[in-house]
Amino acid sequence: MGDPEGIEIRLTSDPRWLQVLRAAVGQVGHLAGLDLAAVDHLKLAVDEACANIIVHGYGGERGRPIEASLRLYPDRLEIRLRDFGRKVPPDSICPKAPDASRPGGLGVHLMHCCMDEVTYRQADGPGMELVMVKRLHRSGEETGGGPRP
Amino acid sequence: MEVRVRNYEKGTVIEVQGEVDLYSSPRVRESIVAATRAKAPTVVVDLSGVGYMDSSGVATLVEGLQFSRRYGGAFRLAGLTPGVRQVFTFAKLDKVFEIFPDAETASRA
Repeated sequence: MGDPEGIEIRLTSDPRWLQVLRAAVGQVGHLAGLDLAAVDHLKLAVDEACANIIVHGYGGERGRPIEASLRLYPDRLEIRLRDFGRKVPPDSICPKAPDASRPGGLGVHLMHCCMDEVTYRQADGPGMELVMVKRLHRSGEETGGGPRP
Repeated sequence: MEVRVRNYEKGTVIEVQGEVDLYSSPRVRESIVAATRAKAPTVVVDLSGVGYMDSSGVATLVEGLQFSRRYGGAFRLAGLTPGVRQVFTFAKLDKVFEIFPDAETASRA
């Protein structure tokens, strides 16, 4: 059996590339058969994850690498994001409850709202690796994600 | 992304067009800071032309709300598209802001 279908995208840690990545991720979502809302969720999750890498992983430094891998399996779309910045305990990257007086940390919360699985781990070597999964459902079923209590 | 600002008798309307993310949200913030520094009695942010907004955009709007509250101003959002409204719902901020169907209604309220 061959490798799952997919693409690799390598971008640098400049926020102007986020819109390009979102467009590509959206197209992959369409290819995976996700509905429009689920495609929007996918784009938001990847955008938030990369924004976190730029701001926290690289401390705002431009020109550092971010590697995105999108793999399409029969039952799921799996997105891996790898950076080479600050290594932190995965448990420290947790969704914060939304708070109108302190909106920081909202990105991770949104990622969890949008995806079925969000897992950080320390990479071999510098940086972090994030794996996010969107489960694919048969026609007529819901496409996962959505607000959690 | 484009930001257009117009003043009217009760305050300022900030009209945003395009996608609001980590790259573009500082330009929205600039306009909000200018309007709230001038203590505009009402600031309306017209989002009817925004199809996408991430948490940096949401944080910018929360900041605007906080700035306005400091001097007793009103800070209103108008014309949220379904995608943007979904982000506000996820963030549980849809009840925190005054949200109007369009800028005209928000300006007159």
